[in-house]
Amino acid sequence: MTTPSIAELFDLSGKGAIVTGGGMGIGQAICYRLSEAGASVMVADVNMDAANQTVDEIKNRGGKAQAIEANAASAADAKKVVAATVEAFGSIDILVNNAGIYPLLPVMRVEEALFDKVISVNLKGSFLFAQTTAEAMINAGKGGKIINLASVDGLHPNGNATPYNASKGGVIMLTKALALELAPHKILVNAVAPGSIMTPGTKNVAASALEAGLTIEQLSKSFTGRIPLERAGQPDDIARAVLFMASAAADYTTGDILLVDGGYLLS
Amino acid sequence: MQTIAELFDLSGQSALVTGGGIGIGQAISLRLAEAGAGIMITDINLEAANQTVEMIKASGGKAQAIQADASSATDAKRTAQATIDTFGKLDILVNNAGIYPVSPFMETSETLWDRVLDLNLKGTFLYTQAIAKVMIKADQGGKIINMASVDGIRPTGLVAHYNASKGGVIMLTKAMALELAPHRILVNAVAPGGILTPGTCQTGDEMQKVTGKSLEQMAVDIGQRIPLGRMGEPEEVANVVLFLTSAAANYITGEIIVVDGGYLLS
Ligand SMILES: NC(=O)c1ccc[n+]([C@@H]2O[C@H](COP(=O)([O-])OP(=O)(O)OC[C@H]3O[C@@H](n4cnc5c(N)ncnc54)[C@H](O)[C@@H]3O)[C@@H](O)[C@H]2O)c1
Ligand SMILES: NC(=O)c1ccc[n+]([C@@H]2O[C@H](COP(=O)([O-])OP(=O)(O)OC[C@H]3O[C@@H](n4cnc5c(N)ncnc54)[C@H](O)[C@@H]3O)[C@@H](O)[C@H]2O)c1
Repeated sequence: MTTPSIAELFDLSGKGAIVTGGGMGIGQAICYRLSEAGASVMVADVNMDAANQTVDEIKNRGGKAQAIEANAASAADAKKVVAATVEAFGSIDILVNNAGIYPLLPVMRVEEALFDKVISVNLKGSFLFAQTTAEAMINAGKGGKIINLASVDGLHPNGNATPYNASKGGVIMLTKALALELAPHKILVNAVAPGSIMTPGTKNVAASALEAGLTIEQLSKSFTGRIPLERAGQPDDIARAVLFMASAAADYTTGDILLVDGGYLLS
Repeated sequence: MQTIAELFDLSGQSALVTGGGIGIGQAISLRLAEAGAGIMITDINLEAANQTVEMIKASGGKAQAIQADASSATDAKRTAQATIDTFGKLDILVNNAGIYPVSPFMETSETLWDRVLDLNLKGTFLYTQAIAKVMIKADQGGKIINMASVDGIRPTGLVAHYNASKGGVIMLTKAMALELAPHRILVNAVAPGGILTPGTCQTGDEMQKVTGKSLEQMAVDIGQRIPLGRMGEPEEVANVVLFLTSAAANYITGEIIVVDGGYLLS
């Protein structure tokens, strides 16, 4: 085995990537890092304005990207996005299941419709996009990388986030199950589990939770309460970990859940 | 915002790698040197350590060898001091030295138990404490990477002592990460699965004596349990260590990255 150089390990030139929810927050940071590494990025989001902004910024920096309106919870949209990616970039090598929602509400006030919505975007969406993308990867016969966004909340429950906790616990086991079944096709499936990260989403959730009657104390406890490194993370902290998983530096790792939480789960 | 090249640039930093003479430790030393770090290679086998140094120097890197026992408290202090004397600072410690002698549980002597625990678990404690002391004094933070194993998560048979040592390394990693976080010293572990090294080749021979299975049969058995269908290379572990030592992992502490080709899934 000839050993690739460090620069070669992290070079994604010629690769096509799909990032769901790439319009803002963590997904946007992931799009920027994959693009910096040389990948062409399909930015899929329900919010087309946001997706277009990510694409414009990538193009400003000299990268290649395209925006597509898609709901991560829709099987039809998964097919549409995969077809568009193959069409635009010639191949699909990396999928990042990033789109996710995390409404905060005490469990006794969670209605069935809300439960269904969280599970269908966070869990079923990851399944649908992984299956559709893996089909294209298997047909191409070159293997690939699938990276799911889990969460520390999938390992340890966060208060007032019951559907979310359950969805991310599901994402963790889905990641391992897909890794096991897709390994013969050289498709590696891993997850990154962020702790508290400052994104537009966490800011919105904080605002709406306050409106719903949660106190500031309850909120700050659920967000940055006990982090040994004493800071919330930035979207790029997660994007770096996703870049690692997408790179050749992680070619013997599959079914792993990489925690990026500033030590939160230790405390 | 740092570029990707900047994230993985360790120029101006120095690293101490225990057991850097052969196998995984050698691959780690070569990778960290390629990233620009000066490497202090410790090993009980000075000849092997010197060979790694030669390889690093041949490709333009900086390294020095020192004979040291990774289970000795005095050697921990001595190697920490030698690193400071040579490179002026100490930013990275990789607790890699470890042994995995095959022995059925009912035949394992107290002496063998002590030898394995002293090196794999206590050595990791001693070196981390000695090096963290230097890092705290310098007040620039640091990175500590421990070599755990999938055997610290699930037993394979015939290595109960080893399983116990690596299970201990995993929890030691988390405990030290928690206590050292205020000093910005990040502590993580890599848990490799089956990696082809001089050490595992010897294990194959030992297993053959105990189980009576041929090496070929064992290789088939192992391959069948690994979803990716092959054992790993030392470089594949070294690449993950590089990630953890780099600025790309600055928000990660107390984490155990499994590098096993999916072995734990099966
Ligand atoms: N921010 C955190 O602290 C944190 C912590 C752990 C895990 N995560 C996970 O990381 C991921 C991203 O989180 P974020 O904080 O960046 O979110 P965000 O709300 O800031 O951004 C999410 C993006 O996804 C898009 N999106 C939402 N629903 C979608 C759907 N059905 N289909 C397609 N796109 C959709 C949004 O339009 C937006 O662009 C989520 O899976 C989240 O659960 C975040
Ligand atoms: N190879 C694998 O499949 C595998 C799997 C999981 C974990 N690991 C772990 O990775 C580490 C390295 O394993 P390897 O397979 O490369 O081993 P190896 O036997 O091939 O090499 C080990 C090196 O450590 C040195 N060493 C041994 N005892 C020492 C001591 N007391 N003080 C200083 N140096 C000492 C040896 O001289 C040698 O250079 C170990 O901690 C091992 O438990 C290996």
